[in-house]
Amino acid sequence: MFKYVIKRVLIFIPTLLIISIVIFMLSLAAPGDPVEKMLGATPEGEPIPPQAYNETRKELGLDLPVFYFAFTSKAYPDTMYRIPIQSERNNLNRLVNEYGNWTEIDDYYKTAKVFYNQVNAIEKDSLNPDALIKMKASTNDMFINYDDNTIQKAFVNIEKYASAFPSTARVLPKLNEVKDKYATMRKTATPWKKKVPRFSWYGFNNQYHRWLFGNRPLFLKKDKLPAMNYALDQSASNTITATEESYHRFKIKVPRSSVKRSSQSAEILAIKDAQTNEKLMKISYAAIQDGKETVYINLKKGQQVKIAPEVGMIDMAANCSIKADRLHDYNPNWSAGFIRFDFGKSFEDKRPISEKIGDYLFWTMIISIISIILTYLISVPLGVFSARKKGTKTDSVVTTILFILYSLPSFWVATLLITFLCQPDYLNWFPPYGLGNVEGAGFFEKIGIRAYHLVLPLFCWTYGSLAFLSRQMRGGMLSVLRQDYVRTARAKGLEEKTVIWKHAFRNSLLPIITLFANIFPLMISGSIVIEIIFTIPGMGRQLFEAIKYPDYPFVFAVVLMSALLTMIGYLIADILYAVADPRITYD
Amino acid sequence: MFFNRKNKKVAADQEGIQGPQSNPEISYWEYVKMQFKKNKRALYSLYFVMFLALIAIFADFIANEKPIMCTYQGKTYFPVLKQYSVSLGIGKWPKEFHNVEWKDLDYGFAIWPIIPYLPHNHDYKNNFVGPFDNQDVKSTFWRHWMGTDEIGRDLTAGMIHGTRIAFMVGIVAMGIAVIIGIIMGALAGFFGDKNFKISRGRLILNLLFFLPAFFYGFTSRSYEIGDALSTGFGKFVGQIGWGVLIFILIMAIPNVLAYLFKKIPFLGKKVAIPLDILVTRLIEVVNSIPRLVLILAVVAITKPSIFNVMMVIGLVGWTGIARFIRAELLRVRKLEYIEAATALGFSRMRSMIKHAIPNALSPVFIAVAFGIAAAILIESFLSFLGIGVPTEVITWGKLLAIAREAPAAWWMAIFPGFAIFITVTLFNLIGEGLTDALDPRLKQ
Repeated sequence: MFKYVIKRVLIFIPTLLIISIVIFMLSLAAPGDPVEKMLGATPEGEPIPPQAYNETRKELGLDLPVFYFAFTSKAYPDTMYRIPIQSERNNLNRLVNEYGNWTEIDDYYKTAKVFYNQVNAIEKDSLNPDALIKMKASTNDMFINYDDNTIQKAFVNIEKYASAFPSTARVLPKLNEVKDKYATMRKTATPWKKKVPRFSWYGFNNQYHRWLFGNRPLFLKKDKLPAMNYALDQSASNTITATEESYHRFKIKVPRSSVKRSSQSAEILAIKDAQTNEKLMKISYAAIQDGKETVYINLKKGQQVKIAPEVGMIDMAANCSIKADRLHDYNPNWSAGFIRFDFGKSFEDKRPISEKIGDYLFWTMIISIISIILTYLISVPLGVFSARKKGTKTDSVVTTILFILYSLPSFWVATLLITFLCQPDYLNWFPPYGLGNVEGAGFFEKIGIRAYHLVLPLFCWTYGSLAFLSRQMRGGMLSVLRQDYVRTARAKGLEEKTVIWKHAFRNSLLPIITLFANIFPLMISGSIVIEIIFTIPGMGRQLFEAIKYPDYPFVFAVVLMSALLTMIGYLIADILYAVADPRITYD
Repeated sequence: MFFNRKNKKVAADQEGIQGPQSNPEISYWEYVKMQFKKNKRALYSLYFVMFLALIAIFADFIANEKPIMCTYQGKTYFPVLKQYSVSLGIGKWPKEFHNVEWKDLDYGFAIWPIIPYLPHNHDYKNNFVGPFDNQDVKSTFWRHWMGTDEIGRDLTAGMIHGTRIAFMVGIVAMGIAVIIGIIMGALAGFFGDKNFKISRGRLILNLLFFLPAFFYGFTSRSYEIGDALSTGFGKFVGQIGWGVLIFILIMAIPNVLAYLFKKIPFLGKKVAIPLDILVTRLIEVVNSIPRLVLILAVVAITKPSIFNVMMVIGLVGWTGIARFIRAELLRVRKLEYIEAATALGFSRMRSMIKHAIPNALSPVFIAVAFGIAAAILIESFLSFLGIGVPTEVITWGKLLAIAREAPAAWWMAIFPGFAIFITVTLFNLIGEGLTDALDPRLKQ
């Protein structure tokens, strides 16, 4: 038994690794540039400043090679991942795919980039607006494309528009240089290189490794600064002086009751430079919601900082505590990795995904747990009842109803219920969406409001699994009732009740136990459609929103997490099964 | 044949009542057919599914904006048929039919489809009319029998053309799943962990050649394959097929070379490949990712296309079939007729393909029936959410989604949902009927 559990857990690890690789590869296939997505839209379509681009890229770990190794062709340089901008990298890959001579391609593309920047730097004047716009568009075409036709056409167009005005004609020499380089590249093409495989090893510092295991050390090297418990009033001399340049970690604790105003975006605390009074870090209510927040700030030698509450946001007398540490060799771009619950940041609101999942999991779990309890409470007796009455009219009615319920798509039922039970046009019995407004309501009143709003979602959530489980229970009971030991029990003259509940029922429960394993992933995903239709702020709905946004880090975090939960579910089910049925042996 | 008789006997033993003994002439499949016909619910479901399939095939002739046959300005045309040749690129529309409202033309004589609308035709005069409302139409023939949506699209036409999409999704997705499932399940079940033996030389050569074969088949052509996927499904299949062909050709080299190495004692020694463990691990990996979440994630990163949806559903849906086949073959491979085939000197591959798999196929039919139901359900779910299915394709799920925005239009909520429900139920019923007919043990 013990050996079996150990063996089962050992199998679990490689499976998880394979799944994580599959999901990581899927996440790579997501369209768009993650850096641009993370930075959000720039005002009026302006290009992102290169410095911000590079910083975000480092923060996301995209400056690392993708995987431990790469298996490509000789044509591709093994340092391709160092090209910062994704669209340029993609275009270079395409060019390599066409021509295969990396040095010439690199030469051409660098010149093209200089030319591109030159053209974009030309200012609009009274003479050239139309030509300039067209020229910029053609230059862009040249820069982001790889097929010969488009590029040649772009060359012709650029030349035409550029030679029209003196202000634009300046770029012509550079254009000729680009054209020369392009011609050289085409002339010296070595497409055969594409047919020579090459294997390159990148080591453990790569994107996948960082994503799954993280690259942050298990223990940070730090000096503890004297612990300080401040009453957060302005007069106290709560300042910290940095003795050398390094990152400092501030762990801030604010009792929830001391927050006076609780709007999500409200700024309640700030870390300020003590001398210049400049705000180094703002801490909002949203960040500090569960009372704790950890922030990292790089301080210069001799710099003094203080923690200052915003006026009127926090009860000054409250006992807030701040612990400060000085960290050595800290890198803010470290990730703790999936296995340490660091799923990265969401594209949508830049919040850590683990925090977001924590928020949305609440309602999904509440409803799932109620639904699971209801399912088991109803389906087990119903299945037994139906099995006992096998062949009678009652049984066939129950079986038919269960079959229909099983086949009814829950999104149809939910739509029908909303159409006919929640609209003033027909019956207006239930609220069509949300969980109700509970502000100012008492405890029982709150439960009442929530329950009223949850009736329909719970019904839609439950009936499918109820039908499924009842059918399983009936089948299990029927096969047990055929067993010899049940016949023996009856032959002994035991009461039918004893036979059913004491001898048959326990054994028929076995398959039901394993179904419990399916509950874990259900908590995350099973509810997608019901949550969407009834607008319940749970995981399923958030997954849907993330797909629509698209917020890929969130989507793939949820996929990997639900895979992990499913596997844990299977593991538990297998072990439970082995515990419950001593006949089962594993080799 | 021998193995047929064996199976019949097993079936008859378990059935216990009049089995094929009373009529020894009939084969196993005829017996299954007989059993299936006894289950009236399943039988009528099958008939009804056939009827729906006919609607799906002839959707263009049942609901169309063009007449099936007409005379116009003295000439006779078959516009619906003509449409096929035009979309195939063979024919061209005559000038008088360019940019016309088909229903407003002045025909000499015309045979119209039963529903004279296409799903995307707008009838501006009849926005959001119900089946029983007053409709502003020329005559009863032009009525919208099931009502229209907010821009006057005929619901009946949408339902009929939606049938085609639903069936296509079910069949293509399950087709992919069946191919993968049978191969995987058969390898795992028939060979198990100990019976697939190859010489060390062959194993080493195969491992050595795998990477180059993969490189020339797929890696070095990744852009071509990727581009084909965005142009069309047919091109994509062609590119993938070409890649597979290159892969197989390169993999043929080590297997020919292996004959030469056979003579060397060390390399000639046979080792067993644990196929069963490999396949069951793979099944576990696929099953560990919740299917719906996986499909949603994949569909989220691919371009909206109905073929992508079918492929994804198929690619994640094969595990059930593989498990069925595996379990069945674990049983079948121990039967006498396989031993007999081995004793007669046939290769194990041949016994598997010619004798074992045909006898293990029966559970596949059950899995396919349930699988089609699940595929249709997933596709309608995706189109209901508006993920993965392109905007111009009209499906049952999309029609149902309209009801969410317009709760007053009860017809949008009832009809498309009912179509999904009925189709799913019919396939489930067929699946149950097949279960009973193929596995009489469960019927007692």
